[in-house]
Amino acid sequence: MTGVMLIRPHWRTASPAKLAVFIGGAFVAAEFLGASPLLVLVIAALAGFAWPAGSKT
Amino acid sequence: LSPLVLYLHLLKATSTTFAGLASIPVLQADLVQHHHVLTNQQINVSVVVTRSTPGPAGLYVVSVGYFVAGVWGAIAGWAAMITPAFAAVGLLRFLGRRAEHPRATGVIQAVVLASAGLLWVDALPLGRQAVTNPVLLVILVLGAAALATRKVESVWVILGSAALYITAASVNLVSGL
Repeated sequence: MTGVMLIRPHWRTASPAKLAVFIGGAFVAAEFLGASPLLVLVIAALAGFAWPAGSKT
Repeated sequence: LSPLVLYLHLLKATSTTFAGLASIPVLQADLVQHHHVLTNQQINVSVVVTRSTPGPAGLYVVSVGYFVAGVWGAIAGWAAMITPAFAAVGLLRFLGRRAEHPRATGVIQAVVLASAGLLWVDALPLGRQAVTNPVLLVILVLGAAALATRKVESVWVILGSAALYITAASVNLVSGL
């Protein structure tokens, strides 16, 4: 329920590629690679800086 | 855990995420998996208490603090919840309009989306513990669908789920309440 609520505001503003990369990437990194949540968030922040909001992809 | 150490753990979780319940994965890793001072069921209870009462979603850290260290833990949770908010006021004053820069909003968007992915990792064990019969699985699917497709408040989903379960129990679809 919380996962759905977090994504809902970004459903239309973020591109499908961004949704797939950040949600799927975080899931895979934590579930299958055993990455710590904090590390995943830091990497996501760096990737978000390099991939600004409003870009076409 | 002393209240001060608990406060630092909770602060780490609340200050590295940008949405109320998004701090669950960090807290789960620290307090459930590493320190073993909290259980997944207690996290579930904290979230349900927060989502079915007035106030911000992030208030659940107060319940988490209470489960770990009683009243002092609850105070530590409350302090950890408000510290990032006070820090943000100062940061926004310093950053000003730069906070609306596409790169800044890109960082926030990326962290929130990654938090959602992390939450689903935590939702698997939490769900396995909570969904113990087919009726609960149906309630889970209906609740998620309602939230995803309609602008419905989570409190109505919780109340609707409770009503569905009570109805199912009253017609003996599930064993007692």
